[in-house]
Amino acid sequence: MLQSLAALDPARAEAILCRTIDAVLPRTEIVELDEVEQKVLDEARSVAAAHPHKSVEEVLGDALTDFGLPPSEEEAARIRLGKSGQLPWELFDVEFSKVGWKNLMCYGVTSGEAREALRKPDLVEHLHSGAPQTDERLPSVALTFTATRVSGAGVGGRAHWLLLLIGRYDATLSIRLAFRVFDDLVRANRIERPRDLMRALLMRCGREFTLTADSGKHLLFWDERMEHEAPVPNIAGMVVVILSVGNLKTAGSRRVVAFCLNERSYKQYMELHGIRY
Amino acid sequence: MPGPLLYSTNVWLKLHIQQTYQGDKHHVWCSELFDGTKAPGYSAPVPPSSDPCAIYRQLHGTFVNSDRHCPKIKEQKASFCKLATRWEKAGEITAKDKADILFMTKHASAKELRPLVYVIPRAPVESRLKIVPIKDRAGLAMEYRLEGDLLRTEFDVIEL
Repeated sequence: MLQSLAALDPARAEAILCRTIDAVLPRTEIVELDEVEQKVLDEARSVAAAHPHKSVEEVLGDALTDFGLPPSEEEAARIRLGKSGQLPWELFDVEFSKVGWKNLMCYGVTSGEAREALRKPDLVEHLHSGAPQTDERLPSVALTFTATRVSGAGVGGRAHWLLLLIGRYDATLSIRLAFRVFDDLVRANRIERPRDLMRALLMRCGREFTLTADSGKHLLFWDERMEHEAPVPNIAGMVVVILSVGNLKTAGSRRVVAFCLNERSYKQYMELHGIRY
Repeated sequence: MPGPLLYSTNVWLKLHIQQTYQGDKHHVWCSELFDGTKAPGYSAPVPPSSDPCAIYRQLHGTFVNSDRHCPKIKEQKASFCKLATRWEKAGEITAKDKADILFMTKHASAKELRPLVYVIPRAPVESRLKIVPIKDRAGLAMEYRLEGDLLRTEFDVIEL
C-alpha cells in the first residue's frame, strides 16, 4: 500500500492510481497531474527505485490490484475463473480422484509423474463441459483428456505418452485414470487428440462389450442422455470404465466415455516396455 | 499511398479480456507498416516503440525466455488493471468481473502474455480511424487508434 493513498477513500485512491498509470504509460495522451496525484507518483517512483526489478508501472498496477482484489476475494475469483474455463491450467489445484486413482487405476503411474504431466500437457481434449449445476453443494464436473510426451527416465527409459483422464470442477483438476502409450501403437503424425492414443491402446488391450443396445465397441466416446443407471458389465479380468456427468436425479445426466480394458493384457504390454508395477 | 492493411501487436490476455468483458469490441493502436525497417527510403521513420514488428519481437523474446521483468509486459499489466477499474466505475462490468480481470492479470504467465499480431483490413474501418496527434506519437510515422469499436470479425490474429 502506498502511504500517500492511505488516508483516501478507495474510490478516490483508485481514480488517482488510474490517472498516474495514464501519466506513465507511453501510449496514452499526455496527462497533467494535480498535487495529490503527483505525490502518489513520486512515492511509486521511490518504491520502484528501491527494488532492483520493480518498475513504476508495476508498483501502480499492484496498488490498484490491492484495492480491487483484496486477499479475501482472490480465492473466489480463482474459483469463478475455473468454473468459466478461463483459469490458466497451472493455477488449478490437483487432486487424485477417489473413484479412479485410489482404486489403483493409475497402473504404476506415480502421483508425481501425473502431476508433472498435467502441468504441461502436449494435447488437451475437452470431452464434456459438465452438466448444468442444479445443486450448489454438487459442483458440475467437466471431463478432459490430456496427453503428455514423457522421457520415460526411471520407468524403462523409452519415451512415451502419458494419458490422463481428469475431472474438472471449480478450480480443481481431479486425476481419475492414467495410462502409458508407447510409439509402437501409434504413428506420431496421426496423433491429433488424446482419444487417438486411447483408441490405439484399446485396439491392443481393450475388449468389446455392450452397455446399451446400440453400443458395443472397444471405446465409446459419446454424449448420451442417461435415463437410468445401466448395470456395469462384469467381465472376468476386465475393467469397465464408464464416465458420466451430471446426476441421475436431475436433468442433464449424460454418459460420455466408456471402455473395457483387459488388465492382464495392459500389464503385459507395460512389461514389454520394461515397466513393472 | 497507404496500404490496404493495418497492423497492431497486442498480448493474448488483452484479446481475451476484450472478447470476454467488452463484448468482443477491441481498442487498438495500429500502424500502416508492420515492419518499419522495411519501409521505402524517405518514409517517415517508425521508432521501435510503435513498430508492430519490433514490439512483437520484444514480447516474443519475453515469452520464449519467460522474462518476468520485461518493461513492456509491466506496462501492459498496469494498463489492464487501470482499464478494469475504469470499466467497473463506468458500470460496463461488475465488481466480480473486475476482480477476475485483476486476478488474471496478477497471475498471468508468459503464455497468456505472448504477443499476437492483429491484421486489420483498412477499408472497413477507415471511417473510424483516429489519427494519433503527433505529440502523442513516438515518431513521425502515422499511427491510428480504433477506440473500442473494432469488431473481432474485422481483423485476423496471427502468431509468427
